[in-house]
Amino acid sequence: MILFLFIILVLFLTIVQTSFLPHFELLNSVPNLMLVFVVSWCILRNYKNGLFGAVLGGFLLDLFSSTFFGVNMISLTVTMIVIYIIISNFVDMNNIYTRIGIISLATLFYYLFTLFIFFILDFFDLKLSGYLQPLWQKILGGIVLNIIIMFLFYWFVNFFRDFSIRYNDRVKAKT
Amino acid sequence: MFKISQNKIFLFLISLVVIIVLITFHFIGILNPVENILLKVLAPIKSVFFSIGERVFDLFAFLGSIRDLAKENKNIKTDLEKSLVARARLEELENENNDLRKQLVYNKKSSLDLIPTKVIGKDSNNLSNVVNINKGLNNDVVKDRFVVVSDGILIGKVTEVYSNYSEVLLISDIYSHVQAHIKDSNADGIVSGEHGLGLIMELIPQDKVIKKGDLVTTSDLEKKSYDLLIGEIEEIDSGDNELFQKARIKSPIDFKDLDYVFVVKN
Repeated sequence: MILFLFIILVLFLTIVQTSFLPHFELLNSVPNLMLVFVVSWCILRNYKNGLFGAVLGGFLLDLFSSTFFGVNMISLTVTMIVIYIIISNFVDMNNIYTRIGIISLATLFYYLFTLFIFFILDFFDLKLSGYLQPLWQKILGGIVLNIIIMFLFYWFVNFFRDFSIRYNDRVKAKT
Repeated sequence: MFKISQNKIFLFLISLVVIIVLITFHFIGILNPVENILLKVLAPIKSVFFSIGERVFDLFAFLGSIRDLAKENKNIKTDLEKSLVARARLEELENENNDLRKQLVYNKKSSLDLIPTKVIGKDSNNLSNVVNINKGLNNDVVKDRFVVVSDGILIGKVTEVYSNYSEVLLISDIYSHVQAHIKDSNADGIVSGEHGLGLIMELIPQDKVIKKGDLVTTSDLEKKSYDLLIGEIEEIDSGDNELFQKARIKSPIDFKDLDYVFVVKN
């Protein structure tokens, strides 16, 4: 049940990301819901679901994207893994500043890693469309927007955690 | 160096292997049925969300523009006065044109055969200028076809086609290259995108005299051209030491606000 809800949530975020959000371009960028979602999930819940979300979310984004198939999947998953390693090794606290720092770092890493993949694909002439746009503007815009979205997701992931705990308790009580 | 258990490393590696398998399956074609089902199911939902987003955006845009209404109104009044003068001139030209047509054998151009489609999404990566439309192979959409808005103004080219869904690379993308023609000076060149911010026409021969306001259309060299309008020249860059001239093109279309577009069929 929880897994099913999680998959529905990832599907919903993909649709919102690719069809609703592009209208609301701010700071020359739009927030990356999937990235903030998987990172928030990794921090607040567990890395396994975060990893699953990164692969599934990346797959769905690739499906609706003109980029080389797999770019979103690889970028999201690698970003999630790197952020997880950083959190488990260097971050002890979970306060507002560390959250902002983690999301900023994740966004920066995600964009740079994606551009690195584009560079590699371009080198082998495998890339299908153009990407090298005014990057720093977009990256900075992306960081700011992702931080704003993060607050929303933190609330939501906490809510979802409480819900799943209550749900599991109820199932246990019935059995 | 890093504290990370072997189980986790194993899980990370498994994830990467799964990704590689999915990518391989995608390119071999094994995933095609699954992808087509997902696209078929999700495309209508995307279309609904796209429309909702458009309405919400329009509402915000309207609220934001209220304070500018007085200024806008004044500008519109001025434009209207200018339009009236222009209209009178146009009527005069129309009459003159009709007279000339009567004297010439006029071969009317065949009209464009268009497939109406709706924009249902945009690229998620924030870095490219691609839109998704709700028609595909089942609706005779073919790769490399031009895409226009209702007035015959070029906006892009079909780059990827699925059964009920296609991707259109906008001409504002840096990887879009369209052969173009400047009517007034009879000059040819290549129009490409400028980081999603505008259009630039390059490779215009130095011996051609171009001026601001000249109309730019698709060129006959493209073979599938029907004189689709691309835009008008806004700025010219013709350095003496350069082999070719460059011109910044202003498109009448707002590429961020596309709703219904048409794929040129013939």
